[in-house]
Amino acid sequence: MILKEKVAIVTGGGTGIGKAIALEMAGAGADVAVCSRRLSTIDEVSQQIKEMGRRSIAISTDVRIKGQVDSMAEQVVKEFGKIDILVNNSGSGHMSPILEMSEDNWDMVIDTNLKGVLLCTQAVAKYMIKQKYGKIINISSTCALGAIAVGQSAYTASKFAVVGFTKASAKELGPYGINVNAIAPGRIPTPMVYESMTKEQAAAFLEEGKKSTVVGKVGTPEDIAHLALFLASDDASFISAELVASNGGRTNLMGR
Amino acid sequence: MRLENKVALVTGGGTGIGRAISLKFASEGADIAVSSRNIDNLNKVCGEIEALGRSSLAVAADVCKKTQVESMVKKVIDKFGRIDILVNNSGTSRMCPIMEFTEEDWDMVIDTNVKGVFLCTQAVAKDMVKNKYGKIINISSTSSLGAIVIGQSAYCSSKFAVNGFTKACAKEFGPYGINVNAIAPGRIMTGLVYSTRTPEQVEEFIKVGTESAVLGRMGKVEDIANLALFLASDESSFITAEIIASNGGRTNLMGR
Repeated sequence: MILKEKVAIVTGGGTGIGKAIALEMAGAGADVAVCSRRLSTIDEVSQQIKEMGRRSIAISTDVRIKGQVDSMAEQVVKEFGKIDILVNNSGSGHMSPILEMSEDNWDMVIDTNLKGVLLCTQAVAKYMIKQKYGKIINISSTCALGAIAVGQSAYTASKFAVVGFTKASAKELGPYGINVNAIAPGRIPTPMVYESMTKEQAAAFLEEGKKSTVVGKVGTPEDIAHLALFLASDDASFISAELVASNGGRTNLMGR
Repeated sequence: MRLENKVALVTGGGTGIGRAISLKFASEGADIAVSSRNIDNLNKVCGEIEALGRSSLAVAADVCKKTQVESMVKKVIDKFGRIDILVNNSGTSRMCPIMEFTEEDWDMVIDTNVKGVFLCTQAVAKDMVKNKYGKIINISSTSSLGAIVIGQSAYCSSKFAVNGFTKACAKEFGPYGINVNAIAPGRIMTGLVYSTRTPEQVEEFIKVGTESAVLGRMGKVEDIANLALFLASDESSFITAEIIASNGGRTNLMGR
């Protein structure tokens, strides 16, 4: 139980990678607050966590809105007394070729994926600084290592930015005993993939993903959850400002 | 005359790095359109360009505003017939610890440095795609390679995003004969440095900048202009999706 008595917040925790992380952390002993805009999904996950014998609450939150984010953090502290772990996983994967991308779509992706990380970090780090302890894990993407698909320009820009913000946060919050790292998942079949692409695009996306790894397969949400668990634990205390990829050794990446 | 008769648009072209790039390009035979929010600076630079024997155009525009960007691009094409080279140099910075960053200041940095690059690229690439030729150069920062200063979380995130967007653009526009690269300048004394720092912070900036570069010196705007010239010329036709640092070999960077 490497997260015994820890309290974690997982944004975008109702589906896909977020759900897998929330369940894995609960399985390791943590109480978990699950947040997203989809109440039905987070209620379900929260219920599953309770059935595992852990405490959990579901909070409907739009990470783009400061008031909602601040209120979410307050609620978690009120319910559980503290926050030890924040997983910034909420993300939007809207696809569009650059020349056709509307400003609205651009904003949606940048606001959810980047500003959401800023607002949640600000709201939660406030409590972590007081207790001189915290683990922040930002979900970036293998596109931040250069594996870019056509149509993902906003998503890519946002995921690169998350890496930058991770390093900046690590630097600023390090003196307070707070570790900040990012995970770059490889290609993984999640609801976000299917919701942001046509069926054919998704199939091609995952097939290309399979072929470009050295292990010859796409990942699972659990692969990411295992890494998130490690980074959330005290076993990873000397790791900060790092971007760790879990992508089957995807080849032909350009780190810069 | 490495840019003979080429047409270049340089955003933020009235001062600092943007001005140096504009004058360098003009000295190599290009006609130059400069834009920024300060028409007085632009008119001055246009005077210098005309003195070099080239044509120029000053367009006041806020790169954060889609309609202003589209109108700016239309004016340039109306005068010069086309745009061969786009230098996305407009940038701003706000120094502030993460915990104190206001949403307003955050938005200002992200909108200018990231959305501005998106909007200008979208507007200009439409024309470049028709001509099946173009060079887009985005000004990023060595902070996007990991050299992060406390207080620069927004600036740093924005420059990481620029790198990601550069690669996405390179991928999408490559088939149309358009090269897209980014320059990561090291520490260079420009107006932006002075306007965003206290005198003590400027002193620290210079000290760290000088000591951390293997060449033992700060950069000059001409250093960046020389690299921009190379990337704008046909000599660099096989280079795209690259982030090239001109930073005196600054050490202790974490590439990821």
